[in-house]
Amino acid sequence: MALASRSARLALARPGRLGLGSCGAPRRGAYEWGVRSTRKPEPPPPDRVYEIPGLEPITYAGKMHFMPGLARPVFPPWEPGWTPPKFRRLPPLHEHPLYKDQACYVFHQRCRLLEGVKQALWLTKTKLIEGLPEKVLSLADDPRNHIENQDECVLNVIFHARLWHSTEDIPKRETYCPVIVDSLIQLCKSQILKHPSLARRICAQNNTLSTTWNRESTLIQVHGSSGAQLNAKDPLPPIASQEEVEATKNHVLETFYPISPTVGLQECSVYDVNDDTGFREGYPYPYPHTLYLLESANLRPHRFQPDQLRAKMILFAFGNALAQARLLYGNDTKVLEQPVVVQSVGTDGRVFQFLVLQLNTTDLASDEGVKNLVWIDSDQLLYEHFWCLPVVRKKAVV
Amino acid sequence: MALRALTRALGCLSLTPRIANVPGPSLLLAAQVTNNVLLPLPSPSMLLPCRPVLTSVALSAKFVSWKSRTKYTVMPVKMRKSGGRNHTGRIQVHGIGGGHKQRYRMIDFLRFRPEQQSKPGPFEEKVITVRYDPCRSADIALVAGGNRKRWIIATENMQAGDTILNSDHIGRMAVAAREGDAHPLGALPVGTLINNVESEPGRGAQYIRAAGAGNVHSNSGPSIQR
Repeated sequence: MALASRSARLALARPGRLGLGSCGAPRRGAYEWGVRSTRKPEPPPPDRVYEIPGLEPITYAGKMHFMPGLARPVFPPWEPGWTPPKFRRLPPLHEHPLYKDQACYVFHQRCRLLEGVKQALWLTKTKLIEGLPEKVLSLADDPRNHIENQDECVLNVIFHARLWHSTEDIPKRETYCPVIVDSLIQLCKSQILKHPSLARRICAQNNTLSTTWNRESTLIQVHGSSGAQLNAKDPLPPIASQEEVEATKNHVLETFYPISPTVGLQECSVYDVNDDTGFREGYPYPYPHTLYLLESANLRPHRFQPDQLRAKMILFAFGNALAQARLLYGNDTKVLEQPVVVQSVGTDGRVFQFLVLQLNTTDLASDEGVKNLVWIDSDQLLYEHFWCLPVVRKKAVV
Repeated sequence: MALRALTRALGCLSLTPRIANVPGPSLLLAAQVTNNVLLPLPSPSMLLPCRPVLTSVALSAKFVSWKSRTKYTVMPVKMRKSGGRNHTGRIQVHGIGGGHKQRYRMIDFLRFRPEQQSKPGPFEEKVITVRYDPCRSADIALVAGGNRKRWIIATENMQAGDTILNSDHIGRMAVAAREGDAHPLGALPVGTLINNVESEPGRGAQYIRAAGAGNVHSNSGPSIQR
């Protein structure tokens, strides 16, 4: 035999038999999701008569019933003038007035970034510093700033939120998490008598934030409403000095090849580019001071991991700072002489994450130059564990 | 006209001899079924030819497959167990049924599937987690590359943080194969252990997918060259 291998002989005898169809395409493609019985049935193809140009096919439309031999009539689609609200469909995305060709990657409250803090740092062109800055720590350590009976007050707050606040035996996280945060803010407000400048702040809730920026030719937008936000009449003073800000020029942002930095963000073609701090002009407390982000879902899979929560805090604090900077200094991309500082606190009722972000530059399109700074204090436990019911063994409380 | 056909068909139930081509009004009388035992049985020549009529029909089972999702997701999807029943509702395979409730994770068996917007050619992906899949014996790995995440069958020593290469390129030299990479069979050296094999490029893996399965790549059997 001229050809030894059976497969080669087969290839010559029956070219299509080897499995490769025309031009190397597979006979059957890879599995397609969706069973055929649940897919929508295709409309029947029009009669071949319609393909002949210039010919008017004779249909049974006038006869009002089917007649074998005549063509199937094709009726123009009927446009009812009005649809009941139950069956109204949205117009296709292309016709929306805000539709744009370039897709924008939107970060909202439920976005979980795959790489967590690393990805958030790349998106906001920020350098991470572990631990809060000394200015903030010194405020906390100063005994003059302490509340009298501080430990007792905080213990009372914890007991109130986790045990006394509701009538259930064991209150759920959705109940006790906002109560803890509100009570702690109230404790801080109780110091107004000692520090009257605290009265120049106000707590706002459910405001919508929206900012867009370019990051190496991808448009990124932060859009959403955070839980509670503390606004102040005076801006926060910058924390890092000019030398430290200049030193960030040498810092290189971490990349995470092969994952793209926009993984986890929602790709959107219909979006609005205008910045929105959530407050109108002339609001008496214009400067954002602190954001409070709560993770109060009852089930653990619905809550964010601490890493993802920190990433969300970074992005929302950055969004607020950027919107504020654009409001004060205009939309041009430049290095800010007066950096904008925003703080953020994230919690799930027991573990707290603290964050201070300093916005040094609005030039985010390139990777070089001055970077923003963020100080993170992560995973601070307020209390280890809380038992609501007494443990009883052999009819005695242990 | 329909009445005439019906009575012709039901006429076989009648024991009285009937006259063919009876005009209109007497047709109604012919439709009565007489129960007279003394009358002779009708001979075949008396029965008029007529189309068969189905007087009873079986109930069709209300079976809708749970596989209605057309878009790929990483989130687990609720599924319904078959219990060995087919679309008619009757048991076709015995011994199947029961067991813990499971959610289906959509596995992508076509390894070399570049994204829509990316450049054509071999690409890399990073393994995020390896976890247990209740629907199969093998573990599955969540891999991410570019802008998307997908599930694939995990190999034995795959761990979180590994990088895997998906390629469709066959060079002159055989590729130094690493565990977890995907190459066309023609690019792999003889003797590599392979799994998740597809019969033709672009079809998706259909063979050697179970836990512990692995086959040695050899040139002796009928081979597909691509």
